[in-house]
Amino acid sequence: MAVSVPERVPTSYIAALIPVATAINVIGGWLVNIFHLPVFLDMIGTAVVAFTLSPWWAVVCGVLTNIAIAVFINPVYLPFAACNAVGGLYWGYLARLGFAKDFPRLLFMGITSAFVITSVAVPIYVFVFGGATGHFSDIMTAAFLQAGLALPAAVFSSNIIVSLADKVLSVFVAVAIIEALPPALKYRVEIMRAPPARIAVYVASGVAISMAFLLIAKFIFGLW
Amino acid sequence: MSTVQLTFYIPGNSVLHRLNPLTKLALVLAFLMICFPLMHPLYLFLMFFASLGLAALCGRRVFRRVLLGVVVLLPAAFAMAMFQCFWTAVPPPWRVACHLGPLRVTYEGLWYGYVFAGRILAMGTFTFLMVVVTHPSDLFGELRERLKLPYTFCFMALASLQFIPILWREATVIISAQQSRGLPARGFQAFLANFIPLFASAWERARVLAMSLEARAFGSSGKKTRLREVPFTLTDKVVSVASLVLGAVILYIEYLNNWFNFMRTYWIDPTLALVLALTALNGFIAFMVYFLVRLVVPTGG
Repeated sequence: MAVSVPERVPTSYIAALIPVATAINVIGGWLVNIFHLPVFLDMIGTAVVAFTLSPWWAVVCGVLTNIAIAVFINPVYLPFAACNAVGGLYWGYLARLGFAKDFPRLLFMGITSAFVITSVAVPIYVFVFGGATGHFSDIMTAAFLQAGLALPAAVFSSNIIVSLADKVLSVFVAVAIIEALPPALKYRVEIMRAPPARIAVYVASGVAISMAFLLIAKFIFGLW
Repeated sequence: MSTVQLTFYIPGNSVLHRLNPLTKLALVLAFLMICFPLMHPLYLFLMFFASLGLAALCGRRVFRRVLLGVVVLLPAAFAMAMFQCFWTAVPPPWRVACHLGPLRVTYEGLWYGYVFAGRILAMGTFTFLMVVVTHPSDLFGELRERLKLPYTFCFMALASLQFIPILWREATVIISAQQSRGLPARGFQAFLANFIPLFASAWERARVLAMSLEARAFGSSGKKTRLREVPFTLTDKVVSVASLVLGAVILYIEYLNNWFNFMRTYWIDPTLALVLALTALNGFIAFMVYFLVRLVVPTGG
């Protein structure tokens, strides 16, 4: 029997889903501390909204997330609302182009989004905070600076390693969450079945470790 | 189980408490307008201490809460000061103040680093003070009513701020339940084992909320009423206009004194330079050791 779905998602559903997605972002960021994960995972809700509602609702979710993080956790994160918003736009439009319907394309989306979001984050790090925000990735930035990199390049290098693992995991967890949502919310975009958690972890770790090796190789052997 | 606060708001009857949220927003705007382009650490730290003094005037509970906020800002402040001290971001030429082992401290880096640290402490403390003395529903109510922000956006912002502590509490319960069942206390598997039940519960809340909104004609036109009415008095009007005008005047004074220019040459007493560099370095190392210990050593469970 065909499932009947409304033409557009009712405003009341949107008004209820976005606060939940925002809260999930904030709690996700808190849970990674509890479970000692060296990633952020504060954009899972934004990815869910980007895939199911629209890229622009994901922007709203992203901005609200950073406002909430600034209020509840640390005001330093407020300017990074731009990263969350750009991530939402990127995921939303790529999902509409069919980049969420199979594993390789979703992986591509996760990897490229890390570069896009880090490119937005680096100017904020450098011009607003002078390169540091008190996050554990500052240790890596310090190491890159001591190795002779300029500040923007050092911030980018330390950020991209964490960001790659983070964004790949975020899109895979978002796909797993969307499986649990009602049909009315997920018929707009063709989304793949979620892979087992272990595979998502292996892939995300693999991508991040490869990037770390590439950066180390650049320093030791002077590649490119 | 520990109780979770619903907001950072602390009720009170101080002058700041009695101001309209939009007036407080104007004060924040004026403060940020003054702080952000200012490249003088002394004035920035003065503004930080002035914000702490203002918090003390609002009562002991407000002051304590603001101090907790300052503790959260300290790692960022130390990191910013330390980075600039040793790896200066302003364009050369730099003048070397001293050496700490392989690291070189420059006068320009010290100045710029303490500008960043002072800026984040001053701006963060003042903004957090305003958050502590403002009820969120008053703020969003006023934004909707007087600044005509879309009702849906204000509702979503307010609902988000209310959902977070609720889900926070549920997450604590789920973590305790999963750990009592012998699930691992760290790693991605542990994260998922706790995150998925949390999302299921969150989604159920969203579904119920959506149905309630639908039943109560969410999105219908017409005047919306509020539980808490906040007047916009003559004092509010005067304070709002005065703060913005004063902000603009101070900005002009800063410009006349060349305080925006980060390319100026500065001189700091060499002993003071060494003390400042060591303070930034030790503070950064202390917080990074704390983060690394938290990352490595399991907690509870």
